[in-house]
Amino acid sequence: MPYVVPNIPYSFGSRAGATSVNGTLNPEQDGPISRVGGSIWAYPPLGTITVTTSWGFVVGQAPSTASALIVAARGRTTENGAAYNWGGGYSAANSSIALTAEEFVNGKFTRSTTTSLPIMHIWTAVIGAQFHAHEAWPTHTLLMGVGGGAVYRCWVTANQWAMCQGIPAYAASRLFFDFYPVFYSWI
Amino acid sequence: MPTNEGTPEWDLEDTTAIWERNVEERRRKLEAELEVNARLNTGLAQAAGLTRSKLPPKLAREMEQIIERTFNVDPPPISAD
Repeated sequence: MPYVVPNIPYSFGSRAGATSVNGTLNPEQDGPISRVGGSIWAYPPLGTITVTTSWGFVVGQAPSTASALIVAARGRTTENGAAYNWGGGYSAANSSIALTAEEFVNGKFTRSTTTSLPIMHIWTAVIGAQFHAHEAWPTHTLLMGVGGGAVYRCWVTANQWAMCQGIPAYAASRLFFDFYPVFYSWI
Repeated sequence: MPTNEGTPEWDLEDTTAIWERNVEERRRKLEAELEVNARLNTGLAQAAGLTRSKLPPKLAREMEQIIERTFNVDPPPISAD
């Protein structure tokens, strides 16, 4: 079964100061297409927010003959960002997508490997405004050495953050990564 | 359509505590970065005599309208095409 629709949703966020989430951070699916990401803001006079949204799936037990696990996720990113300051301060926004493979021996977590693909990083300070709007169709891959008999779980993740300080100041990170069933193979 | 049907069930340790610790650590690092950058850039602005009162109201309104227009929209339909 080289392709799989992830079936474990996960999201978590941490914030301080004036921030908001526009809509939901819950991962969504429409048939075989999965979505991670969301829309986050930081506001004046001071705010910092960072969130992670993921879809995961259990790959299973590595065959005794396997030396590595390869995973690939392909899809479309819809990206928007904003960073704005006037008269001082600093604003920045960021988004990336990541693949993570976790290893378990006898059910216990032993280690993990993550590869990250930068999507957006914008910032401004004192006086400035940056507005980012972009679409792309990336394929992101992960290669992890494996031990025969261990069990592996994989995650497709959107990582985002936004932070600003100043009056006025805004920062926003909006990312949706819609991806096809995830490819994996033991090699 | 590929699915997870037929995937054996595995009793695996919950690692969400590790993920949450990483997110909290990322926020702490961002706050430290923000404190330094904001303090220094505010100092530069003050040294240059830049104040909020010099921001033209029309330009300020346009900035806020762009921000509102850009982000107060519904997410796009789910599609990887």
